[in-house]
Amino acid sequence: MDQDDDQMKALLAAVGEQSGPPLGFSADGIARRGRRVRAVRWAAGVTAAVSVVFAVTLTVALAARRDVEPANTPPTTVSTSTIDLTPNTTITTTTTKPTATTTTTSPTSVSTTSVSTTSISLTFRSYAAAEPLVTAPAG
Amino acid sequence: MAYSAPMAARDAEFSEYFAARAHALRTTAFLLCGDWHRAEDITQVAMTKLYLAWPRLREYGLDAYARQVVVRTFLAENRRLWRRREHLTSELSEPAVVDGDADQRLLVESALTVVPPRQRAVLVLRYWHDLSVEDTAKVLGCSTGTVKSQAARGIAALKRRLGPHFDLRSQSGR
Repeated sequence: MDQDDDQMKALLAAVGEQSGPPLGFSADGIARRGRRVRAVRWAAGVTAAVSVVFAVTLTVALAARRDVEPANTPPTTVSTSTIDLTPNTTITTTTTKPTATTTTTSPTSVSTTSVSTTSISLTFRSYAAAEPLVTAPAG
Repeated sequence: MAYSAPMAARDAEFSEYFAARAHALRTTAFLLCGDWHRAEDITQVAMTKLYLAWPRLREYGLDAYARQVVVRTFLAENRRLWRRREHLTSELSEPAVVDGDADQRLLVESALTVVPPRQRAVLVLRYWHDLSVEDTAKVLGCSTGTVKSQAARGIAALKRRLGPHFDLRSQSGR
């Protein structure tokens, strides 16, 4: 293997020892070209930075100028429930936020109609926490 | 663009280095590609890269860096331009006549051109620049095993191509 190595060195030396034609470029030419490349790179960098800043500014400006639309309200739900109450319960009316509840009680039952923008569970809660409960005087 | 004093000093340093090493780098490029015009192009591109990186370079390892730039420029150019270049064949169009040093050199040059570029790069770094397997691997960005296998294949290809002319020492000793 060492023999091959030596032969390779001799082969490359035979080719590499020739001087070749005179050099077709100079250090000044390389420096000029290098400065040009550097200037182009600098200009490209500045252009890219300015473009990014402009794009961000434009996006922010457009976003700020856009009218704020109200959030979509969920469809109104109307639920009716009938709750058995003890006899002699009086008619009560109560209003709670954010739901409006009207409760009509017959001697044997209460029919509750609530208009709510939330859900059925709120209806139950409004019934359970129906305080202060206005009670009509008996008789 | 303003031409400041530090830049002028840097350019002067670069000019000094250029005067000292440009020919050697072009010879490396010639051994890699086998064509003086292409070698000049490769050297010019490599020197421009060197100029751009000059402010970051330290004097220590400058030659190694320049050599690496030349080899990598050659390999990159080879990958990019392989469609546009003439394709090499494994056979000579006419039989070579070995008659004197010049013909022997031409024979070796033509034999080198059939060795694939990466193997040629390994051969040039190992046997022209006398780099170790580890340093060659570092320049080419590959493993030492790859360098060894590429070198062995390159030598085998040259042996096949040159036949008895592979051993120049015995030729000159005749």
